[in-house]
Amino acid sequence: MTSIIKNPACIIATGLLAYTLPTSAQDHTGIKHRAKHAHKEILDKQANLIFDSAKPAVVTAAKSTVTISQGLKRLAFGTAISAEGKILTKWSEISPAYNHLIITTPDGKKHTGSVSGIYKEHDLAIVKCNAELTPIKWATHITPQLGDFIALAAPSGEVDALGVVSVQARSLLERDKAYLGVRMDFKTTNNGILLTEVIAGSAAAKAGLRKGDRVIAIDQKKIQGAEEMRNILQRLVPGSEVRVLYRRGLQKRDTKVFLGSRADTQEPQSFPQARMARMQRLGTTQSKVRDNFPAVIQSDMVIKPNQAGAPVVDLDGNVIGLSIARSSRIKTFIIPSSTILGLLTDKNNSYSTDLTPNLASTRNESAQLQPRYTRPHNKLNNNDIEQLLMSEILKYLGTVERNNEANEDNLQTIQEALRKINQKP
Amino acid sequence: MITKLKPLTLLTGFFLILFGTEVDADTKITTLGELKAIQAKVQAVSKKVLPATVSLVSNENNASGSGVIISESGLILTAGHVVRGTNEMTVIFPNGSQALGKVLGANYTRDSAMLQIVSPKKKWPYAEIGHSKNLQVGDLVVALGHSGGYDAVRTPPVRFGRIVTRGNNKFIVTDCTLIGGDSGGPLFDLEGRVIGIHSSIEESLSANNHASIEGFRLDWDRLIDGETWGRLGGNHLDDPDSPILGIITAPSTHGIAIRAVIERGPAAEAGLRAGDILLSINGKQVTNLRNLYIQLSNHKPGNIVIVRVARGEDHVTRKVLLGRLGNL
Repeated sequence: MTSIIKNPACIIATGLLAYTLPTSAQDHTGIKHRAKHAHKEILDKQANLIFDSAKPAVVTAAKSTVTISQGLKRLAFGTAISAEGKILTKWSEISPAYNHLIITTPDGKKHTGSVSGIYKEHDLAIVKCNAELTPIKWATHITPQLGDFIALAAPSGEVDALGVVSVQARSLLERDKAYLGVRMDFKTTNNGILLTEVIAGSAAAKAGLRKGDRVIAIDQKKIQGAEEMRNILQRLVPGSEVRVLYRRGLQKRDTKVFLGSRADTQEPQSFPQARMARMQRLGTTQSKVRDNFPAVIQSDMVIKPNQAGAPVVDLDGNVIGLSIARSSRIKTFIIPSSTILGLLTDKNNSYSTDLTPNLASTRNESAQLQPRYTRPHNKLNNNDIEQLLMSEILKYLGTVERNNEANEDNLQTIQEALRKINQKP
Repeated sequence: MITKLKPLTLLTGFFLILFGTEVDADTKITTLGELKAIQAKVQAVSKKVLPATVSLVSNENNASGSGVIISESGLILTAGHVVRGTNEMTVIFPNGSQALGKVLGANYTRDSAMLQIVSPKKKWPYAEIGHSKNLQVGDLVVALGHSGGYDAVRTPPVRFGRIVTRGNNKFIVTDCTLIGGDSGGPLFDLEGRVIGIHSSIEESLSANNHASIEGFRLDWDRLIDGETWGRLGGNHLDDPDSPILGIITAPSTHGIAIRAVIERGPAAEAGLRAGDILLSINGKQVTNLRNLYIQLSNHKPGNIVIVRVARGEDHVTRKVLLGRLGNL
């Protein structure tokens, strides 16, 4: 106890406690509140210990991390890729000051820098400055596994963010998903998946599939249902070939389908977009450009938009990638080292030194507004048609009750009448 | 997800003495070696339980959530609000294959529910269930779930975190971040045993709520037997576009009794009252909560439905303009 009393911060704490104790002794919520507070202290302490325990892993990478600022405001981190002042960072975060950036190296020295080129598709920029740098060593021989701990190396040599590999590297581009071009009946069936529509000009149409056909197997794998069929197709790359076994009437047939690209189609969303967008923002600040990357590892580490551009390491200190975006409440994206090295060594792909059109498009993306909810509004007004329909409904309901069971005909009449009421403007 | 917080204030020691809650020795990580040992467990858990973490899609209203298989025969635990309004669900595995699940029981108050895979018949991958009774603040946990719905090009995201606190009604709170689609997904201890089911989120990244396995254990037989009871609380993961009548229900021997109507809500505006007993919606009998949700899920907020109730000796029929959950 002596050591605690000696500490000034704890004298304040004693004061607080004396003040709150009488209330909490009577008030249940008061106790609960203080218990919660105590939990927070325990959790904070534990978090700090965990972060510190990962510190040896970031020490080397941190020597290659720089801070990129506009005036005093940090825009992003950057990762040194050459000894002569070349830095890789996130384009959309630094674009407002692309020709007058301030680079702070790990030794604390400041340098001016400007963007020399970008990889638009990856939202990456190369910044050039006159500083001697320690280039990063990308670990391309490592494939991070699910559940691996990974840490963000800040220039201070501290662990700035820590999380696990949530999902292994993948493409987020729609154009990388294969597309058959059919609509299916989603009822589970032992009799093949009924195609309810074959889109004209699609891969399926070209292979001779028609509305009413029943798909039995794809590449000799028997299909249990429409979801399963869709999932098999989504894993394939556009341009690949599959064998489709199907039934038309009593005939069994098979055909080869050359799959198209899904880029031009809109898949039905499992979640209303506005609702999902709200949850994605909940409790976190998202990066302006945060989706459609050609290759990313997904992690649950929490970063702020201005922590993009830093090297991310595994617990052995291997640099597994570069932090590129805070995408939502649950995810941060990291561009894998192998992708980055591929970009840096192959200059003819997407590298561009013409920044002007890209500056404009970056602004457009950040200005996108989220769709808003509209409240459904169907005021009841008792006009004649409705009265008529209602009396019809009530008549049938009377029958239903007298017979003490719902008769399908009655129900259909009721449904139909209701549909008419609900359709009214 | 673990966030790094501002430098530690020195209150810690003081509160620890008062509340006697200290992080257990095995969850106290101070060296890289200890962190690597935890990593090995998280890796093992992720690998082991991933095949049993399924996506659930309603065959009636296309609602989607997650679940976890906990027996070789295909018994699934999920959240109550995931099965609401549906009798059957398509079960989708991380490898893309699918099966058919039948909804068993649900306790909406604890946001717990069970399903059984009915076809095809085979031996399913499953996770063992654990215990949540003795969980301590700071215990390390792993969450999986099909965030945002099933996605064929990725496996269900793995998240790491800690027990933050306990809530009411056998809920537990962690800092494993959740989002829509995760509902019903599993929370594991570091041995890969199910200790909770994802239920709801709040603004803070450290406020992710899970129905505890202890709650499931208490209700086990009723859930298996297909009983549906209780009442859902407010929930960010819940669909604000769900249609509502604006009533608070109570079970009754004859059906569902209206215990109270929400002031100026749809039912109140239509003239329904506390004490009325629900008989039918659009002529279809509603004898229990699941019936009721199934009937409602066929409609949208703003639709009109015909509600028939028993009021004393009389039967009364009213048009109700359905409201929107998010506007409550």
